[in-house]
Amino acid sequence: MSRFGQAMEFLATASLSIPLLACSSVGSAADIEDDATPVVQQIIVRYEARSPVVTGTGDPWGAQCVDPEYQDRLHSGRWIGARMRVLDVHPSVSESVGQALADQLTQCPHIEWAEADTVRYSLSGQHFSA
Amino acid sequence: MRKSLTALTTAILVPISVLTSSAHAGEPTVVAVLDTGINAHRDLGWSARNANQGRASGFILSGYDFISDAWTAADGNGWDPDPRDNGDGVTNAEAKQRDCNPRESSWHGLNVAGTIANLAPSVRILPARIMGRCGGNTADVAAAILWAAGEPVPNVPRNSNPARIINLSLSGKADRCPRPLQTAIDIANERGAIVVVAAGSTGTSTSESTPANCEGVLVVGSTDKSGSRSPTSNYGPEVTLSTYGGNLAAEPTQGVWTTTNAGPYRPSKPSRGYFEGSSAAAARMSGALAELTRRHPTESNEKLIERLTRAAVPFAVGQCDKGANACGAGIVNIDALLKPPSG
Repeated sequence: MSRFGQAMEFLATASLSIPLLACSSVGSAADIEDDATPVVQQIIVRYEARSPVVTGTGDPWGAQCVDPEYQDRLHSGRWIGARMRVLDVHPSVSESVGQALADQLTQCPHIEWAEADTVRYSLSGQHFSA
Repeated sequence: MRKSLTALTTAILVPISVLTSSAHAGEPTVVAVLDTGINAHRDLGWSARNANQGRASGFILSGYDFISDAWTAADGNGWDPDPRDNGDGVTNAEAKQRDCNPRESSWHGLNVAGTIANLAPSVRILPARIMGRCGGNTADVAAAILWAAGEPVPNVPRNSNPARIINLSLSGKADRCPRPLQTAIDIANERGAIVVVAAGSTGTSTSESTPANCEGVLVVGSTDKSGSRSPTSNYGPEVTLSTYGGNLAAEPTQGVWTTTNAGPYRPSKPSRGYFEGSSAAAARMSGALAELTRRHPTESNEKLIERLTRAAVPFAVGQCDKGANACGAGIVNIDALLKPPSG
């Protein structure tokens, strides 16, 4: 049982002491005027080995480290391999807020890095004539 | 330049077991095509029945659909085991709503697969679907790279045919390689895969084009039939090598003859046509590498790439209009390189 009074889920079975949640010292997403187009729908997080993946309240690990007003927007998404996981951002946020949230997640214990998924890929040979 | 699929069509009439047990043949090389998916096509030995049942046959191995967004995938769901291409065509109304460009379906994965198979008659294509309507995203691309290389991806059946070569004929605007993408590429490299990527076809710098600006990738630029950089091919010090990818704007047959589909939006009849750009150039390079791997099965990836580099002819003055080293170490004449040894 965790100190939150609930069973915690870990990336791999191990006994870990969970540090007190250290909120980041990076720029606050709440300070950014979020009037730009909301384009960031997901943030990709890479956890450390044996990291917890949810908090005691069932939120994705890392949500506790972002500005409180954005915590509810982060939802557990799909695992994509190599300890990387998508955190769905809903409702979506602007690129600058997405980057600020990723920076705050990167500062969070047990997270190697986080990055907003902002690149839209296109094909490199669209032209075709039959 | 091979302008017909005659060799390809002939190859599929020969039982695969005969092809792979011939005198100088090694194990078939697995090339992962991370693209729009794949469609049934006789030239690839993949019938509609096999496609419907998700069964491997001919050149095509069982693949996976890594497009997480149901609308983008045009198949009503997210990740699933069906790598068939449902079309990436976007109507005017959809384009306006989704903030992307209207277009008919490209059947790009089929174009790339046919291009590779035409150069490497005993190759096996591992289709992973990552591009759909209005493009794709980094999470899906990274997951597909990991899966293609044999790395476990949670909740996805393990790929039992890890790829030696991973082809990515796509690009996105980014001033650096996204970390999820670099992580996936590093792991694929560690697992022994060569990651071949298109320089991009926006006519801009590869430093702002990903995955061309990632580490550990072989970046392929496109040339036209005169050996000059194709006008749309991206350029910069990130480009490793160039090869023919054509220029259909100059003339409608100056491309790579390959497999496609006749459907404007949804798949209909299998067809053939010309395909161009750094996508085509990267696919040709992947095909060349697959064939070299079969011929030299014990050679390391470094040695195989060295063979390509040795075969490259330096650009003549003016052919690479963006400066020295902006189009790679030279032009690889793949047809000459793969020509069977005489005698």
